[in-house]
Amino acid sequence: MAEHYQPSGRSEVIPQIDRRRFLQAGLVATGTVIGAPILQSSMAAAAAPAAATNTSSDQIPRRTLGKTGEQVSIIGLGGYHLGTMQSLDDAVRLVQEAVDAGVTFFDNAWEYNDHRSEEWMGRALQGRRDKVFLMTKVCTHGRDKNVAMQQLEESLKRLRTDHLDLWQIHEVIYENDPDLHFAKGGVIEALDEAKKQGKVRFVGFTGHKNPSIHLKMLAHNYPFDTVQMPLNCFDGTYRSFEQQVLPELERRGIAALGMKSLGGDGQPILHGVVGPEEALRYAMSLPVATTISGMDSLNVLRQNLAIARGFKP
Amino acid sequence: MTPQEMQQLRDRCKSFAADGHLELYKSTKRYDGGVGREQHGYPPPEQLPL
Repeated sequence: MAEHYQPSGRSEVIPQIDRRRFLQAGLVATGTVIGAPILQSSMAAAAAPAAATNTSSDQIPRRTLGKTGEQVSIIGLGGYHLGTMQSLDDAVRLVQEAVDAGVTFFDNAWEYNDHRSEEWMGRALQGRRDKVFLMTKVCTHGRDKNVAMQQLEESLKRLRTDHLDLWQIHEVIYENDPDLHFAKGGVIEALDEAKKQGKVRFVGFTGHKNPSIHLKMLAHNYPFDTVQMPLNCFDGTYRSFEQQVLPELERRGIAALGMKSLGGDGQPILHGVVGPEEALRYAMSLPVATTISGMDSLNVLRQNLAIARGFKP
Repeated sequence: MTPQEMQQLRDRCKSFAADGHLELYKSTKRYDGGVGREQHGYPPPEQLPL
C-alpha cells in the first residue's frame, strides 16, 4: 500500500527503447447509435466469442484487437492492483512472471495510486517492453488538450518507454463527459496529436457507469480502436453493457476490452454467488479482445493463468 | 463457455444481481477516481460527513 511508496524525485537517467516503427490502421467508424432494450438475456447469448490463436493447452490464447490487427493475450494485467502491492520487488516479480507466461496486454492509468502503478510497471517491464502491448489512460476528466499532453509525457517517463500501444480516455462516467472530451481543445485533440507524434499507436476510452454514456461517445463517430467496460455475468439485469454497447462495438469493428469480471470488488465471489473460474470464463467467452483482471499476488496471477491457458469458449 | 452455459449462469445470477447492487460502480460515485471527482465538483469520499 501507499506507506511503502516514496514519490519519485529522482533525476536518474531513464533508459528508453527505440521507438517502434508502425503503421496506423485506417479506421472510420460510421453509423448511428441504436437504442437497446433494457433486458434481453437471449440477445447476449447470441454473441459469438472472438476467434483465438495460440490455443495449445500450455499457452495463453491471443485474439485480434479489432481492426488494428494486433494480437493480444485474452487475459490482461490490470495496473491498479499492481500499485497496491507491498513492494516494488513484489510488483516486478508479478509482472515478469506474467510476461514470461505469455500475458501481453498491460493496463494502467496516469492517476492510479498517485502514479505508483505506472512507475512500478515501467520498472518491471525493463527489458521486456517489446514483448507486451502497453496501455495507459489519460485522466483529464474534462480538462483540455494541454493537460492531456503533459500527462502523456509523464506516463511515458514513468513507464520507461517512448510510445504507448494504446492510450485511452479514463473514466468516461459523468453525463457531460462526452461533451467535454469532444469540445474544441479537448482531450480528443490530444489523441490525434499524440498519434501524429508517433507516441501513441491506438486510442480508446473507458468507463464503468452507464452504457448510455458509452453510446454518446460512440455517436461522435470518432475512430476509436478500443472501448473498455465492465463485462460480467451480473451485468444483464441492470444498465447492461453487454446488451447495449457490445453489439455496437462489434458492428463498428471496435475492439471491446472487458473489466470487472468478478463484479468489481469481488463481493459476489466472497458470498458464493459464483466461483472465480466460472466468472472469468464467462467474461472471456464474450466477443472481447481481452479481459483485464486486477492481480495483486502471485497466487491470483497463477489462478488466472491456469484458467486462461488453453481456454476454449 | 457455450452459449447455453453462459445463459445458465446469467439466469443463476439474475436474482442476486437484479437491482444492480452487485455492481455499485454503475450507480454510485463511491468507486469513481479522485481526480475525476474533483474535476466534477465532488469531494473525496473521506471528506464526506457520513
